[in-house]
Amino acid sequence: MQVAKATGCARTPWRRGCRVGAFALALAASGAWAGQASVPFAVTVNLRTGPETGTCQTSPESPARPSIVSIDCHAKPLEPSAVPSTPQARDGRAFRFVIPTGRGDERYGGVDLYAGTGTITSWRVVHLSDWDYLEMTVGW
Amino acid sequence: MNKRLAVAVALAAAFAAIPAAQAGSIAPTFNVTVNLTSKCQVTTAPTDVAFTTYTSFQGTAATASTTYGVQCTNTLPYTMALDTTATNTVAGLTYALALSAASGTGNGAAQSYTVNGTMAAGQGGTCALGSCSGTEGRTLTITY
Repeated sequence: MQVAKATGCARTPWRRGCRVGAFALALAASGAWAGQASVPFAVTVNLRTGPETGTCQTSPESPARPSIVSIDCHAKPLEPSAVPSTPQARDGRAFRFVIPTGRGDERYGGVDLYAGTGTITSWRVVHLSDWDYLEMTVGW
Repeated sequence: MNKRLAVAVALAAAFAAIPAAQAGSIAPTFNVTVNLTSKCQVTTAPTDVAFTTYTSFQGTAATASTTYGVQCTNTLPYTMALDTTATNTVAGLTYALALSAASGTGNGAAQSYTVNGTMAAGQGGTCALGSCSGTEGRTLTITY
């Protein structure tokens, strides 16, 4: 109503401009009038195609070409280590530990330790969330 | 003499017409008017929804989120929505975004909301190198 007075529509409310204004006011009052506010943002990712851990093996030594060494690496997560076998008595008071570090068809290598008489050897396999490692102490 | 008398009578009549000691009051009324245009504005724009590092075929889903603030006229209802034309894919990885709320009512102050992103586990993605980065632009729209 105040707008109508200010624009002179009170005296001539049938004018087209006044009708449009009244319609807009009615829409605003009824909540049908809509405004928008938009903001951009981004979705990002760093895709890594391989695991952080892997194993590498050197090729068998070639007497013919000793200067060439091939290294074959597998981007494959390390499997949990198996429980080391029970120490086996050997040569009287000496013990041999065979510690497997792979499982199934895939073997990452092994530790074949011969602890002779007078050698004090202790070891443990530490299990972490995503990998294991062997911790060994040898004294003599 | 007659003239002096006439002047004196006229002055007396003039003063007599003025209400000397009596105070009166009037109370004019007026209106204060305004046409308020309701509005919503984004006070804190959302930052990137960064999934940081995703390793192909990883066993756990990746999540990421960002917050934003909306300030609207008191009692003004509004809705919030994300653009629908996006591919929802970055570096060949499909993701999904969800708003913590789809609508709200203004209270004059900034109101905080969250965009939550999820990237399902077990996806390979698209990358010809050891690592790739992917970005997709999105738009958040407040309608009121």
